[in-house]
Amino acid sequence: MTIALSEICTLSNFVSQAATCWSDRLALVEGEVRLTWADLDKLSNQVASLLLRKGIPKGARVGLAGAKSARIIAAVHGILKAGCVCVPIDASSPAARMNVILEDCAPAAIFGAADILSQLAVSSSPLKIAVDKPTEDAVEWQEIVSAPAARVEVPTERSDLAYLLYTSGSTGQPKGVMLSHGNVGAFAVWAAEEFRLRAEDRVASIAPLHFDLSTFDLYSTAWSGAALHIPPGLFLSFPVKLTDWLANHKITAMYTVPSLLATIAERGDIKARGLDHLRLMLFAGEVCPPKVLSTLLDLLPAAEFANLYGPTETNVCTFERIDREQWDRVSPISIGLACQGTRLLLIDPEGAPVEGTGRAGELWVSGPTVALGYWNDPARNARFVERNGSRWYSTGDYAEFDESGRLVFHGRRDHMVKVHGHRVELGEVESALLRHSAIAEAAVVIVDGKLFAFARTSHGQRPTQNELREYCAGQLPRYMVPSEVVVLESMPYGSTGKIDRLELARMVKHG
Amino acid sequence: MDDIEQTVIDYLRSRALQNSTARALDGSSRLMEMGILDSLELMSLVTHMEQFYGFTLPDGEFVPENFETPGSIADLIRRVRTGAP
Repeated sequence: MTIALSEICTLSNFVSQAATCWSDRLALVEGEVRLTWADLDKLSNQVASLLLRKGIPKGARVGLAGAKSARIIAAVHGILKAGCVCVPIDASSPAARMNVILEDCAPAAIFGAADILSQLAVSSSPLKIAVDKPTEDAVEWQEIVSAPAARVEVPTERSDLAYLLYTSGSTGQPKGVMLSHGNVGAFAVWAAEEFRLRAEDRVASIAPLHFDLSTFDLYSTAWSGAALHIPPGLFLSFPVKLTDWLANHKITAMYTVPSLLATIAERGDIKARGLDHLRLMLFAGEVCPPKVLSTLLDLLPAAEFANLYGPTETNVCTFERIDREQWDRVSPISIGLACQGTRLLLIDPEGAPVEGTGRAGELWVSGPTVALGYWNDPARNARFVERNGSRWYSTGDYAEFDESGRLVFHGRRDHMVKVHGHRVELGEVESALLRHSAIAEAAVVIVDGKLFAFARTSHGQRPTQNELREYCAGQLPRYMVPSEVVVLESMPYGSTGKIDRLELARMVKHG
Repeated sequence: MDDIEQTVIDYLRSRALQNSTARALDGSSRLMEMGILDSLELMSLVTHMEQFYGFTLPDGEFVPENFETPGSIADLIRRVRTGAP
């Protein structure tokens, strides 16, 4: 594969190029809605025209808050054509958290479901556009589609900001990762070429838009002319509904988290459905249990599988194509080799590069997918480091090279964990608990994929577990709310005076 | 209301993230619309009930219509348990 990264256009013209090459081929399928690339190009031009008419300037942030739909995806492409920055937010999280994010990025406009828009209170007074039904104080979708569809492309550079993706922040404040057109484009084109995505492919859109996995769904498809199929949101909770849908839509490729793979492997009755069309399964976001992958290799004997690795700050930077002959089905799945144009370093605690195989170090990444930094957060930008004339992101992940030169993931240096593929800073959950007036001290641990919180209360106060979980649910997305909150008289401390998290994890395991 | 339905309601009450919804919960509460069951909670519920009642839910029974209300979940458990060897 030889695509010079300098040849990659900006994301804002992916759709118009697709419309030139594959005008009448399907681009988007959602329920009864079927849009060709020409339709999607036209609709996104109409979105961009609206933003320009309303005076939204280049570089303005534009929020997206609603279930994924053909309209929301058209809005994403339109926002980029208008030279604006997409900020997809998790619409299933409480309004308080959505408002914290919107306050941080100060959007000039927000596209969303009417019921969600009405809950948002943002001091930048953004223009609201309701994508599903008319509502007070919001532009109706009808106004977009009744306007002319002249081609709109505000000139953008590959270094211009395209996305802010908010992830959990250890201090309690979500942080916005700044991805440029070049960052996202480099990944999308690499993935489309590496895995030979073609116009004949039908890709399932599983990841939510605030998750970097969704950039494959939107832009790798546009690069190759493949169709993107959006399943009903409810089906993601019901394995056989999802596998039925995958079969009915003859899906050929999907990119998701191992947690979802586990549910369809264990409960999706794939054998009865065949899924013979599925030729490509990409997964990322968390460590995939070998058992899950092994089951799927048997259930889908003809499909190609690949493990993709990278935090949001680097999108995908390494990958491992699963070799059915070589992998022994029990060893941890390697995170593989660097993607095209990416360089990797392992750094020891003294800051020196780790040489050779079998020795772990912190993984540093340099290359076209490394993000521009964090929005509004100079302190955290220290994670982006200059070294020998290149810009590197220090991931906080530990890894080593094995004898074949592939990377093996070891774990984190801090308290960032994964819950069903969602990135969670334990500090953000602890901060939420500590805002409660009765809580003096809090620590959260993860055991078997579930969050357990321990809290010491102030003298004389005794909130119930339900009260504390409800309190967290008012501030945090559902997946960050601890499964259990245990109120303790005193916390266990280690020899350094820090809370002994290993002891807390032991307490969970021994009931 | 029988024991199974009460067990389901008690479990969902213990998991509900809002006391007001937990209190309002009864055999005919629409669980998805009330936001009580999302994909994570659904999986926890199924695993818990399988362990508690000692059955394995057939894949084909893991469908939205069986999880609409505590009543429909109790019906499901009764049906699956009877069918179990």
